[in-house]
Order: sequence, then structure tokens, then C-alpha cells
Amino acid sequence: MNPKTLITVAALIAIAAFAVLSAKTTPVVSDKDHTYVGDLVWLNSYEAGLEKAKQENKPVLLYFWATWCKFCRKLNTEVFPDPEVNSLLRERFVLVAINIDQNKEIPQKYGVQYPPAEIFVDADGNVITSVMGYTPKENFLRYINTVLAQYS
Amino acid sequence: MSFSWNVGNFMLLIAFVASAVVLIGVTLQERGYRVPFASRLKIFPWITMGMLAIATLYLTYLFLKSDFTYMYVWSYSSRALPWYYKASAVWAGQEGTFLLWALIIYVSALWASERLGFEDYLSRRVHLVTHLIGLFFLTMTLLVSPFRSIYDLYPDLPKDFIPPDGNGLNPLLQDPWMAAHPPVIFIAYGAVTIPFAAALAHLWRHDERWLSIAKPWARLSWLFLTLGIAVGGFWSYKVLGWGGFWAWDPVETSSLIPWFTVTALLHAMVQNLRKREFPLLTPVLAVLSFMLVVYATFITRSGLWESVHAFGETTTGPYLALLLVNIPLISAILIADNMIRKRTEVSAEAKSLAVAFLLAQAAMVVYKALTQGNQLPSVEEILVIFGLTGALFLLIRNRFSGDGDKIEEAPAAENVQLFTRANLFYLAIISLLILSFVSFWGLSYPFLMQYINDVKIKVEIDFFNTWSYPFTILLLVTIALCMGIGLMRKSSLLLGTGAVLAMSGVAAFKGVTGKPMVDFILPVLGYAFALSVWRTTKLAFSGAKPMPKAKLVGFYLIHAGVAMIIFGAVFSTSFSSQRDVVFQFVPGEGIISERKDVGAGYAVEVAGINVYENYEGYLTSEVIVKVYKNGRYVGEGAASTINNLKFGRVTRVYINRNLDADVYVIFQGIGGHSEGRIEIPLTVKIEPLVNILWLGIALISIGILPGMIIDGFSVPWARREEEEEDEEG
Repeated sequence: MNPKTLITVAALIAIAAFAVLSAKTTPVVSDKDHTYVGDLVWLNSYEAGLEKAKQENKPVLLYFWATWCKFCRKLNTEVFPDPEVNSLLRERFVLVAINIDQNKEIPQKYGVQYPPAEIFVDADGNVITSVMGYTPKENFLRYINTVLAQYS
Repeated sequence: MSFSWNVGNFMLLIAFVASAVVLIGVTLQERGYRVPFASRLKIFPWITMGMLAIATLYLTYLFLKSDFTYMYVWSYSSRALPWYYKASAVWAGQEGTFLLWALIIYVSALWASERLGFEDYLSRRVHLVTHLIGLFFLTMTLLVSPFRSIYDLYPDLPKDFIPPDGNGLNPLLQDPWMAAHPPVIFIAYGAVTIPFAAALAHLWRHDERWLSIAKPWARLSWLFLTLGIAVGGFWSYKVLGWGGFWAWDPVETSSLIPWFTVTALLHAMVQNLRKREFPLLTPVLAVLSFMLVVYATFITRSGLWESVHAFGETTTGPYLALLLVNIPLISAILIADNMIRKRTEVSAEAKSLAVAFLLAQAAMVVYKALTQGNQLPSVEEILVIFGLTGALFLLIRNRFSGDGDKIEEAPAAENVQLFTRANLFYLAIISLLILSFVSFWGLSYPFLMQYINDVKIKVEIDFFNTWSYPFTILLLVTIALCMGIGLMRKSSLLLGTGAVLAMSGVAAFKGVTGKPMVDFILPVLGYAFALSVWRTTKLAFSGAKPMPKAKLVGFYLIHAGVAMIIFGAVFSTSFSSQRDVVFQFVPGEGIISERKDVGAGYAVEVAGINVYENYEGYLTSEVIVKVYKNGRYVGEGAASTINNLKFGRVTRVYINRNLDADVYVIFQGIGGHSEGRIEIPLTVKIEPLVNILWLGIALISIGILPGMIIDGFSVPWARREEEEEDEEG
């Protein structure tokens, strides 16, 4: 084979491999129904969240975030994945993530002007506790426990 | 859409009309008509360029005198700004940058008209494309004119109302680098127009002279693209929150993509001029580069990407999209025709199809402009465009001649050796193209996914770093081979390269620095750098003729510079460290003097604190920091934080630059009280060897200069470029 053809073919294979591999290995952050951040699965719909909360009798954590928000990234990598926080959120809460670039109505309803914001509500949507901005793991854990204590 | 009839817009209109005259003139000439004003066509590019230059100066004047009855001036300036920030606010938004871009295009159009004249068909086609593109940008400048008056935008305003003050300039843009970064980038973007025009003209009808038209501008564009990206990185490095010198921000990345293709283009040109190699790849790269430049602007202006450059995104997205659809389609028609028919001129059908397509869209644009303004066309309207294209095609099909001679194919050479100079050039071009594709894909793929599937995927810094890594290694190995092939026998070079790669593998496996990716790349970097330097010095002390020697020494030096850039970037990012230190201040007594160790032998000390109102009247607290290296004083400076009430708090860092490491001091405001003491918290980062990166950029920018200066901007058609024949290596 002509060496130039060889290089071309090799390059095309490299590009194709890159495109496929990168597509497969790049994590999905959110799709139509769910958001996948902080090692958790979040509902995207506020209404569906409240519905689920009613059925399961759990409080709801509304997480207002955006892809470009640096402190959201910090929450996603340092606070939510923490084993203690993670298991509490997973088991005792209904999780709803609201992307403030896609949903303007719910943030307005709760007076959220910038991400991140973590608002704990009951199944009727009433605020139990709200945290505006980033908060480190210890504080966040305290908020969780306060909410759980109030809710039961 | 409101249009203001005033001096500024009037100048733009004159510029538009003069350019349109040129376009009509060359079109008529092209169709074989005798143009009565043919001998005077050269005047019109002067008019256009002159008007645009005066309009730019006039806009600057409006900014300097703070005439807030102009919307653009009001949006980006205020009375309190010092004059130099007022002047650089001219390109703070898209209105000004399009004016600048149009100006650059017409500077090159003027060059083309003066140097090439109008007698020759190749020249005329270069003018045709250049003025077409120029008119496109002029149209956009007129549509979002920097000279729109507030009275026309807001008809309810009383006519005697003059805004007391402007909206102000984003404090992040109040920076000396703001004066340089946008114009440099837009000169680069504007300068790709001529290579693009010449490439299209060449695809239309083969003429090897296109290369000498394209070459000086491709080099100019490359130099300014390099400088523009570097200035952007240098600026971003000192702005807290922009993520350092390179954060793969969409707009940053979008300017890197054409950098790769222009670099590839320069390489293809060398081989094309010398050996007629890459006859089709070279023009394709020129077209691709221009397309990617438009794509870059689309990314900045469409507002569809989230970026730190979100300063002036608005309405021109759909227009740019128009260009983004057209250039590939028209070029594809020409390229396909060239590839399939292998003749020196494209067929009559391809010509009519391209022209019909353009005319159909022009009709649609006029229709759209008359009806609802800048909306993306609906599916029906796109179908109308295609229908119209078909009809026009049938109508004008017989009006073109075409075909030309069959290209003589070189007899199938015994090209079975893998390891030749030509193949290495090809490998270099290919690795550059793959790298540009990685960046392109990283930008475009999440966008596609979101719009097709409504799925957001996580493409961040890691994506680009990880996927660019293997191809950067490939590029470095290619550099080493290209440089090494003139130094030693092929077998020794291959053996050496193998040994270096094996060393890399062992280093990564053993874990010398603890970061396998760094361990692997370091030997490769050293190897590519060493061979580049060796090759440069060998040539510099050889007995070659001085002129081609100076050029080549420059070009070889660029390769060493590239290795330095990658080294500086990799090393500083991988081994930077950060420390928080707190100093104390007792009111009435002063700062408690002490030095605090911040790593790498460096220590910092707070020597003073000032609180004052800056020129905009915002409260600024400033800490004077002294830096010591191993106990020896190395410098001092101010780190400050400005409480800008309109745009939010702004932090200005202090960077103490040293050859071995930068000390990067961040002060974000006075901390709490304790026992009558006030705390001054500082965050201090150590960025090791980051200056190698800046040195490398300086080296590659200087490296291109001998070539540019010696070759100049003349078009030596009379004589073939003899000196090119002498180039070795």
C-alpha cells in the first residue's frame, strides 16, 4: 500500500476510534428525566418530585445548579459523593435537580437567583430549610439532619 | 430593526457601495463584458478601506468623548473610565469587533487590488471572493451597527434626553491586555480571507500562482493567531476565575482549532511550492481554516455555548450560520468536481450550481431582511432555497463554460518507502488535523447531543486534556522525526526514537514523578526539543546562502518553541501547589511583621494595606506583598480586591514572576477579627516553570518573522520562487 494511503487510513481509524471512545466514556450529566451528578440520580421534574415525596413520605431536596457553575462542581465532587451524605440523600430524600438555564419558573418561585442553591421542601413544596450557595460537607450534613429531625 | 441615519452609518454605507461596485465590476469582467470604469476599479477598495478606517477612528472618538447618545458607547463605557479603557472599549462588544474584522478584510482586499490588479482572471476571482466575504461582514456591521443611536432604538425617548452616564465597562475588561487581545485575534481572523479566496479561485480554475497570493497572508494570520491566543492566555492567567492560562473555554478552544489548520496549511504550502505535493489538500486546508474562523465567531456570538467570553452575544448568530452553511457546500461542490473529474477547471454544471445556490440564498436573505429580520429559516424556507437553486441552475446552466484540460497525472512513482520527507510532512499535517478535530469534537458533540437527544454530557477540561494527549505525543514524535531526518541516518533516527519511547514507557511505569502521563511525555518533549535545537544550530552554522538560511533557522526554531510550550503547560499545571496563609493587623499599631513559607523555597510577607476608592468610585482594598526566595528579597507588588457594585467583586492578583516559578498571590478581602486583631487571609499559588511556556510562545512568534520579512508581501509571479527550491529539510 502507498504510505500516504496508509497514514490516511490510520488517521481515519484514529479519529473514528476517538469519536466513539470519547462518546462512550464521557459521562452523561443529564437526560430528559434525570440528572446524574454527585453520584446520585436526581429527578428533573419538580412536580414528579413532589408526587414521589407524597407517595414515599419523604422530604424533597431541590438542587438548583448550572453546568458552568464552579461551586456546583464543588458540591458534586466534594459534598454529595461523601459516603455519609450520599447514603442519607439516597435513602431518606426525594432528589430533584433544577438546571436554572433550562427552568426559570421554579427558581423564581423559590427566589433562587444564582446557583448553587439547596432547598429542602416538604411534599407540598413548602420550604423547610434553604441553603443559598455552597456549603462544606459538615454544614451540609447538619442541614440534612435538622430537616430529617423536623420531618419525622 | 432600526437604522440610524448618521455620519457613522453613512460612512459604512459608502464603504458598502464602493465594495459592491468592485464586485459588480469584476463579475461583469468575468462574464466577458467590457466595463467602462474598469481602469478606475482600483480606486474603490481605497474608498472602502478609507471609509472603514475613518469610521473606526470616529467610533474611537465617540468613545473618548463619551457620547452616550450612541447605544454602543453607552453599553460599554462610562465617564469615569481612563481614556485608554474608553478607547479599548471600542472592541468590547460584537458591533465594534465586526467593524474591525471588516476593516482587516478590506485592508487585504486593498492589498490584493494594488498588487494583483484587475487584468488577470485569477486576480479577479480573488477580488470576487474577498469582496463577497467583505460585503457579508459589512452587512453585519450595518445590521448591528456601532452607530445606532438610542433615539432610534428607543423611539419613546425625548429627543433632548442625554444619558448622564454610560453603563460602564465590565471590570474584567478593564485591563491593558484588552487593548491588544481582540484586535490581534481579529487581524488573524481577517487575514485568512485572502488564502481562502485564492484557494477557491484555484479550485475554480487551476492556477499555481494562488500559492504566492495566499502564503504571506497565511503566515500573517498564523502569527497573529499565535499572538492572539498567547495574549488571551497571558491575560486569563492573571484573572482569578478564568481558570489559568488555558481552561479549554469554548471560545479559547474555538480559536485553537483554526490555529491547527493554519499550521497544517503552512506545512502543506511548503511541500506544494517545492514539489507540487498535496495539490488538493492545500486549498482544502485554506478553505477549512476560514470556515473554522467563522465557526469560532459563531461560538462566541451565538450564545449557545457557556463561556467566560459571554460579553456581547446577540443577534448575528443566524447570519454567521448562513456563512457556515455556504462555505462548506460551495467548497464541497468545487472540491468534489476537482477530485472526480481531475481537470484544470471545474465543469459548467458545478459552476452554475454554486452560483445558483448563492443567488437563491441571496434572494432569501433579502426577503428575510425585508420581512422579519434575523430569524433562522424554517424548513419550508430551506426547501424554497433548494427549489430556487434548482430553477436558477436550469436557467443559467448554459451561461458558463468549463472543463479545462485533463490534469496530467504524475506517473505512479515508486512511493513505497514509508520514511520519506514527503510522508513525514503528511504525517505532521495529519496529526495537526486530528488535534484540531479533537477540539472541534469536544465543542460540537455536546452541543449536538443536547439539541438532538436533550442529553447534557460532561465535556470539561479533562476531556480535552485526555484526548489531546495521545495525539500530542504523535505530533511531538513527528516533530522529532522531521527534525531528525536531516541530521542522521534513517536507521539511527528510528532507533533513537524507539529508545526514547521505550524510556517514556519505563518512566511512566516506574512512576518517576508519580504522574504517569507526565512521566511519559517528558522524554518525548526533551527529544523533540533537542533534535529541533540541534537542527537549528547545525543549519545556523552551515554555509547555506544567508537568506533562505535565516528563514529556515526561524522555521526550525518554531519546532523547539512548540516543545517548550507543551513542556511549560504540562509541568506548571501538573506541579502547581497552593497554600492559604493568614497575616494579622492590629489597628493603631500596624501589621504584625512575619514571613510565611509558601513552598518551593518561597516566602511571603505583608508589608502594607491600603483601602481607597478607585477611579470608578468603588471601594478597593489592596495588600502590598513582599516575596522572598530562600530568605532573599525578590520583589513586591499589590494584590487587591475591588467591590464593584455593578458587576460584582473583582480580584486582582499579584504575580511575582521568576524563572523557576511564579508566586501567584490572591487577596479576596479582609477576614474576621480575633482578640483585637484583624486577619488578612491570602491564597498563594506556586506555578513552577510556567515561564517556559511564555518563552516558547515568544520563540515561535519570532521564528516566523524572518520568513515573513524576507518574502514580504510581494507576489513574485514573474519569477518562480527560486529560493524555495533551495530549502532543505
